[in-house]
Amino acid sequence: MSQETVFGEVEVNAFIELKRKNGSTEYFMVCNGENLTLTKEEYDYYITSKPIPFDGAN
Amino acid sequence: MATGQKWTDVGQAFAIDQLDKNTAVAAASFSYYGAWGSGSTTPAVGDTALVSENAEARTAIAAGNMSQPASDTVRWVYLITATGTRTVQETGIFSASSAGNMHVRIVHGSLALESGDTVTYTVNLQLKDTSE
Repeated sequence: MSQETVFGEVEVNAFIELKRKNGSTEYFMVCNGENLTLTKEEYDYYITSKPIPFDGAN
Repeated sequence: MATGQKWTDVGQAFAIDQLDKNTAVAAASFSYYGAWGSGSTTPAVGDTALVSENAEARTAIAAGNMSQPASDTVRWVYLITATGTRTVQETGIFSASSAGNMHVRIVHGSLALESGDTVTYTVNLQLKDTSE
């Protein structure tokens, strides 16, 4: 009897919206422990679209 | 291999329990809370707590702040407000407002915050077959 082994992947990714008390807002995508700065347009795109695969494997 | 974010062992065990009819629990009987801290230690699947959780109360993540942006992805969204000058470099999703199990731990770039600054975290956990 043959057996098939299926390997899965886990991806955890995170986004940050930082609102300063002075009214400014900063947007980041977290990647490998670093904050990648996003524009609001980029942030909105990533938040509203399917998660993109990047180096976020568990 | 990512170094900044981990789905922890206890988070994985919870998911497996939810797939098992013998151990699955109803949605109303478990909760999620978002927390943040100043620790920068690289996350590991064996982590059970943030390295240095900040003083702010954990934010309860209501069902309305969870979604599935894709059929293989669950998303938590939570906002935390700094109540003092804070350095924030890690966040975690927990099962309780204190202690509890930590499902996910993420380390990010350091954020220097003042009282009243807010951070909204959007965390995605995707499970997929490698053939996809």
